[in-house]
Amino acid sequence: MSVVSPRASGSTAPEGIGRVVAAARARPVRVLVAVAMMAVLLVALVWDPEWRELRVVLTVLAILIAPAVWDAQRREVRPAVAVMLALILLALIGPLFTRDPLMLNVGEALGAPGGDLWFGTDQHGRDIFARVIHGAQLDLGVGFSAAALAVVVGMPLGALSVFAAAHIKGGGLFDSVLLRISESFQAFPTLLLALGIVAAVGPSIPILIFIISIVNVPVYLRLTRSAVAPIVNADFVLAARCAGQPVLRILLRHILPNVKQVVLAQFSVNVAWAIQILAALSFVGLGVPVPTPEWGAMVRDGYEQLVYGRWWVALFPGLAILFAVLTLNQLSDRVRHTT
Amino acid sequence: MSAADGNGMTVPHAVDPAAPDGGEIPVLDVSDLTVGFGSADKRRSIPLQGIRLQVAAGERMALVGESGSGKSLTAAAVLGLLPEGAEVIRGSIRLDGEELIDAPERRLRELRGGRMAIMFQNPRASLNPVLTVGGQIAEVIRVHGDAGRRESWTQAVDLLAEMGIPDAGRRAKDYVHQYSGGMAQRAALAMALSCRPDLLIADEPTTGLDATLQQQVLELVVEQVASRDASLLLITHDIAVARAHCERTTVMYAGRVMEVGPTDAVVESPKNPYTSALLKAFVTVDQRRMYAISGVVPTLVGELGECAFADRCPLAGPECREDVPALRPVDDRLVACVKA
Repeated sequence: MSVVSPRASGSTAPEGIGRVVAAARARPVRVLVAVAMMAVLLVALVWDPEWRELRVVLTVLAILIAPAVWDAQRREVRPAVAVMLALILLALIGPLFTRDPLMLNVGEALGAPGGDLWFGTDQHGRDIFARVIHGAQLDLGVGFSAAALAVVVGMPLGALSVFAAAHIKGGGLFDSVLLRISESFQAFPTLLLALGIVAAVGPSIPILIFIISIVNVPVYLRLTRSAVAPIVNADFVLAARCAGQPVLRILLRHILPNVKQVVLAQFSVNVAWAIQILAALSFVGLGVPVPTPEWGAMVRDGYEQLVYGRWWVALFPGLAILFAVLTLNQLSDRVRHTT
Repeated sequence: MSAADGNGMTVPHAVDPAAPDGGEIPVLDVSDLTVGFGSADKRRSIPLQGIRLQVAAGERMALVGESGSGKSLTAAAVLGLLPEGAEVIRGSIRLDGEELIDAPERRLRELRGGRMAIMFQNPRASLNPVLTVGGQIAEVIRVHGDAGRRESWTQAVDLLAEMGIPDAGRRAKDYVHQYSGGMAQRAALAMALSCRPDLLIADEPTTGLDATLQQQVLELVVEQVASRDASLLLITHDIAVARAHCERTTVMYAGRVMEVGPTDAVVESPKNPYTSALLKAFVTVDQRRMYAISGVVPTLVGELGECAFADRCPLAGPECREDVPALRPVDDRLVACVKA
C-alpha cells in the first residue's frame, strides 16, 4: 500500500493533515477535550521532573477513555468511565494542591485525622492525604502502563498464533511453541514469579512495570487466542481471502476488531491486578523504594499501628486501593456487557 | 503424473459438443482435477477425482450434485483456498488460459476478487460484523485497484444502489446485523462484483433465503453477471434453480463429473443413470412417496478404479467395474457412463 499511484494522489480524498482537520470538524467536543488534556499534560510535565512518563501515560489514557463519557451508544459504561476519568485527573492534577508528601514532621507524628490533616499523619509526621493523592499517580500510572504493555505484547501474539495455525504454513509449530512458553510462565503463581524476578534484578519503577506486564502477557495471549479461534475460519474471513486480501491485513482489519471488546474488559480488570501486585510487592518491601508514596507501601507502614488503635495510617491507602480496583472492575464488567 | 501442463494425458480431453464458442479459450477450464486429503503413503481420501469443468465466456453453468459430492470443494480448489490438509494431486485449473495450480500466492491474491469472485450460502456470516458494509466493499476495491478512500467509498455506494439497496448512501454506513437476509446477499453480490470479475462463483447463494427472495436474488445475480459480460458458476443442489437460470449443467457424484450438457436436455433426457436417479429423487408437488436411491455413496478412500455409481446403479454390469468411465461425447453432451 506504500506505493502512491498518480491516480490516487490526484483523487479528491483528503490526505494527511487534511484528514485530521476534517475529522476534527466533525467532532468539536472531542477536540476540545483532547486540547484540555494536552494542557494538563504540559502542566504536569513542567512542574516536576519525576515520573514524567507515568504522567504521559495517564494523560494519554484520559484522552482515550474520555469520549466514552458522552458517547450515547455506550450508556452502560458512562458512569464507570466518568469515575475512572475523575480518578485519573485527580492523580494528575491533585498533587499540585497538596502538601509535600515527603516532608517529615516528627512533632506531628501519628496525628489523628482532623483539621488541616484530613487523613492524619504517619509515624514520620507525613501528611497521609498528600501521600494518598501522590500515590495515585504512581499506582495508576504503573498499573495502566503494565497492563498496556501486556496487551500490546500478548494480544497480537495470541491472535497471530491461532491465525497462523489456520492460514499460514508452519503456523502450527509457532502456535505450540508460544503456548508452551506461556504455560511455563503460568506454572508459577503470579506474585511469586514477580517476587522472584524483582529479588533478582532489584526494584525500580521501569523494572516493576516490566515485570508486572511480563507476568500478565500469558493472560492476554490465551484470552485473545481463545477469542480469535472460533472466528479464524469464519465465513467473513474466507470471504476476505476470496476477495484477495492479504492474510496479515485480514488479521488486523477483520479479526482483531472482533475481539477488542473481550480484551478491553480484561484490560481494565488487569489494571486492578497490576495495582494489587504493585501494592503486594511494596508491602513485602520489594516495590518502590522508600520514601516514595505508594499505596501498598503505606499499608505496610500502617499495619503495625493498627494494634495501637491508629487505624488511619493503613486505612486510607487501603481504601484508595479498594476504590481504584472496584472502579476498574466495574468498568470491566460494563464493557463486557455492552458487547 | 504431470498434469500441470494441462495436456490431459491422464484423461482424454473430450471436446464438449455443446460448448458455445468452442474455439475460444474458456474463462474457467478445469481438467482432470484430483484432490486428496492426507499424505500419499497413508489411507488417503480422494474427494475429487478427475474433475472436468469448463465455463465459457458469458456462460452460466450450474454445478449440481448431492451434499458431499465435491461441489464446494471444487470451488475452493479453483480459488486456491483448499482447506488444511487437502492438496491437488494432479490436474489443471486455468482461468482465462492462465494456470492456477502452483501459481504464486501473490498472483492468486490478485486474481481472487479481481478476476474471480465468490458469494457464499450465508450472506450474514460472510460479511464482517464489526465493519460497515460499505467499508468492506470499499476495502476490496482499494486492495485491487489504486482508488483512494473517498473514490472507493463512492464506488461501493454506487454498487449497493445498483444491487437494489434503497438509500444506499446511508445504508452503506450500516453494519450487517442491520441488514435483512436478502439485503445482506445483495451486499455480498456487490462485494463479489466490485472489481468486475470474469467469473462469479455462487455457492448455494439462496439456500439461506426464503422462496420468494430466492427468485429475486437469483434474477439479480444473473442480470448483473450478464450486464458485466461475466460468467457464472452456480453451485446448487436444487435442479429447478439450475434449470431456471443456467444454460448448461454439470452433474457431480462422489467427487466425479457424471454428465455435462445443456440444462434442459440433461433434465429432460438424462443419459447417465445417476442423473436419472437424482432427478427421480427430486421432490415434486404431486408425488406420493419420495424416491430414494438404494445403497450408499462409496467411501472416498483411495482412487476408485471403477464407476463410482456402480454399486447403486440399476444398469450396472461387469464392464462398469473395469475402469473409471471417461467423459465421452454422446449426442449434445458429455457422459461418464459406459452404458450411455
